[in-house]
Amino acid sequence: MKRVVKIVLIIVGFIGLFWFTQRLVSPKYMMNLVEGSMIAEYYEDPTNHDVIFIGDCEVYANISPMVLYETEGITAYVRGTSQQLIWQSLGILKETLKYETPKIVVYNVNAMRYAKPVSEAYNRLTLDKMKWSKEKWDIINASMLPEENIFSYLFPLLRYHSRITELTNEDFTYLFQSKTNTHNGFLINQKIKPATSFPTPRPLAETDFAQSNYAYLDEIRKLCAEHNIKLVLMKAPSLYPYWYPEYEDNIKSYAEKYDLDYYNFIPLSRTIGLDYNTDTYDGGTHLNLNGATKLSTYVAHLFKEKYNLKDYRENAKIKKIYDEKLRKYDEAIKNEKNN
Amino acid sequence: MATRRLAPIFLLIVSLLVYASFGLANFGFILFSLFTSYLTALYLTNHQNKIILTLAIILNASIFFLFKITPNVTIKTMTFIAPVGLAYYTLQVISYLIDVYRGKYQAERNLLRYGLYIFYFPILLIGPINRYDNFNKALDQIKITLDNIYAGLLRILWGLFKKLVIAGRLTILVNSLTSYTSGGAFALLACFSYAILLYADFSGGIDIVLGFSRLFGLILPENFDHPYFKKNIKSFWNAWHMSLSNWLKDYIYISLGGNRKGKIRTKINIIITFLVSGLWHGLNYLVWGLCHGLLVAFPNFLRTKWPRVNHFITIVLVSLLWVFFVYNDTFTALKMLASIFTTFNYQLLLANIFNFGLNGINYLILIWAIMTLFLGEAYEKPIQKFCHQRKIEGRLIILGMALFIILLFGIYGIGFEVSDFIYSKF
Repeated sequence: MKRVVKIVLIIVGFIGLFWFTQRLVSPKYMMNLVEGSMIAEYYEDPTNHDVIFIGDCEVYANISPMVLYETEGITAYVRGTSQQLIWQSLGILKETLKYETPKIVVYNVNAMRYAKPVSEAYNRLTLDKMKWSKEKWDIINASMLPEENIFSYLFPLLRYHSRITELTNEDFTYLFQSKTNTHNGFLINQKIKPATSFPTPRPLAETDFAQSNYAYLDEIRKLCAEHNIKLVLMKAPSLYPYWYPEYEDNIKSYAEKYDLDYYNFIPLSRTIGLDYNTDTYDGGTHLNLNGATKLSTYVAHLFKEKYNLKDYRENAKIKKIYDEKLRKYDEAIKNEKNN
Repeated sequence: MATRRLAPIFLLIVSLLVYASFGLANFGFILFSLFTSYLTALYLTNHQNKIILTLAIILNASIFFLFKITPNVTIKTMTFIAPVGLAYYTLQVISYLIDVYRGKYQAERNLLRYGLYIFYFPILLIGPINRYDNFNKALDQIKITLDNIYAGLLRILWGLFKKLVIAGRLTILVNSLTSYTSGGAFALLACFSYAILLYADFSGGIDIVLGFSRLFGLILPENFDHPYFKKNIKSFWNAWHMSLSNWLKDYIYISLGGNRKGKIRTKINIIITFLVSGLWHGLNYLVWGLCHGLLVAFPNFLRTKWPRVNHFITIVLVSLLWVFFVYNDTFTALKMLASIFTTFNYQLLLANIFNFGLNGINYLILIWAIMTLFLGEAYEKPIQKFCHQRKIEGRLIILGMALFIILLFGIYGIGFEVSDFIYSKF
């Protein structure tokens, strides 16, 4: 009996050692590559949301839920991640529906152009901090590149062991704690890098999206219908990567076929007041805080008008939470500006 | 008893499946060697026919040499790629045929047992080159016990430590060093690093093979006996890739007359044997084989009366001659060897030391791991005694710590193909 206890203790000790080491070497995404922390911040958010945005960087850089709230009292969360592919969006939506049922789900259609996983680094940014669930398992299996394997997701030590030689203060500071880097999923960036040129598009080899992507979009649509959620499609304003007219036609046809609302904000840039000399931080791919505020203000008015969303500024409990969120938002803007 | 009967069948099935995973096209050549040698040996048991023996050897050896000259053989519209394990199973087949012909043992009638001798997958990838009588005896002693499993796991982990912690880092270092075409100090460091890299990679792989076999109680012959502790080149070769060295000694050197035909013929036989060794590795290694042949044939070259100095000279000579492995073609290797003595760019080397893909901590880990390797070898017996005397709790701690060190400090993952062993390409 004594021997069995000893053996159990030894095994537990090693599990603890492996767990601690794995935690130590895994990226924290707190000071560098903060995009990797977004997915997990959602789990800590204390309220439900009327609008959930899913999609790639075009949502987390361009849509500020704080502005939506401040402008029209809309509660929203951006569950966007870097290069979020459509099957990842589907998985993240499924996961979201385990926590809440929003009134509107907005899918940013930019990723429809990608039918295959793009890079391991992007997979990691989306998946590393996601809670384990069937959805995560499915996303991993759909996203892995040939050189990846599932074990490195199950046991991140296998993937990140080499970081033991390059640990930084960040790894020790955030070993057992984390901080919030986004504001309901929106990542503030106040840098300005004007767009100096406009893209000359290369002819498309394939004008239609992959059938598999339509299948995923169908799944998103059906899932929303099952939960009585309105699915809205959007294309965020950007100059790069070029949004081809053929892509636009594909999405329009799909939206018409299934009676979905679709907003392409590229042609609305002037109406929104976007100026690509001041409102982008990378020459036209993403909007900076200025641009995101303009777009979010526009979206707030549009959604309020079209979907008659509730104004939560009149709800004392929500107001208290969001007032605190807004205070942190303003503080973060000031701090980022000073840095 | 049941284990002894079932384990070989299990190992054969696993081996066939693993071999099939490399592509079914591989099967043609290995099955040809299997059946020609199996049938020829049966015939030779009752007929001492040298012509049949020679024919069977030529048939098998010609496939080997053909693929050594060109990796892809095209006949009309069909292209054949060198089958996996060709270099290893060909030597096993030849030794089996000669041994049966010499009457060392009877031909095997059980095709499954003989099939396992040829197909046993760990050996096909990296060696050691087996003899059928040894393998047959080992098969008869198969026994799955906790002690065997522990010893096997320990050996596998030791092999993984050499392969992942040491060889993984040295591969990065050597690959970076060889990209500096100026040679000199870069080539010198590359040669010495490669000396350890090759040993860690090859002997680590062999440890994994022997450890895997030991899990089933299948005890295979050792392939290394502390080669870098030897004080002359001849002793080095008695301790390095012993299964190949012994094969060459038994079937080439002795067949040529060994040392029975006078001093000059002995030296010539030694040189020819080493040339064959070079050829077994590939056409680019002929000069390497010749150099080692000359060093063994003329053992007094650079020998002193001080054993430590002799040890140092042996290490330097062996390391410098790895230049033919470091640089893939003979001309470049000779140019780099010359540059070591003519280009003095040590300051440039030191200035770039952190540009070779390893940071300071990685160098520290590497130095610690190499020290562990050689101290582990120097104190092998007491360490083994210590490990094997532990009760189950102690054994779990040893295995757990070893696994932890390998997982944390090993070089593996995306961009590193762990299953690639240097010697599996020969």
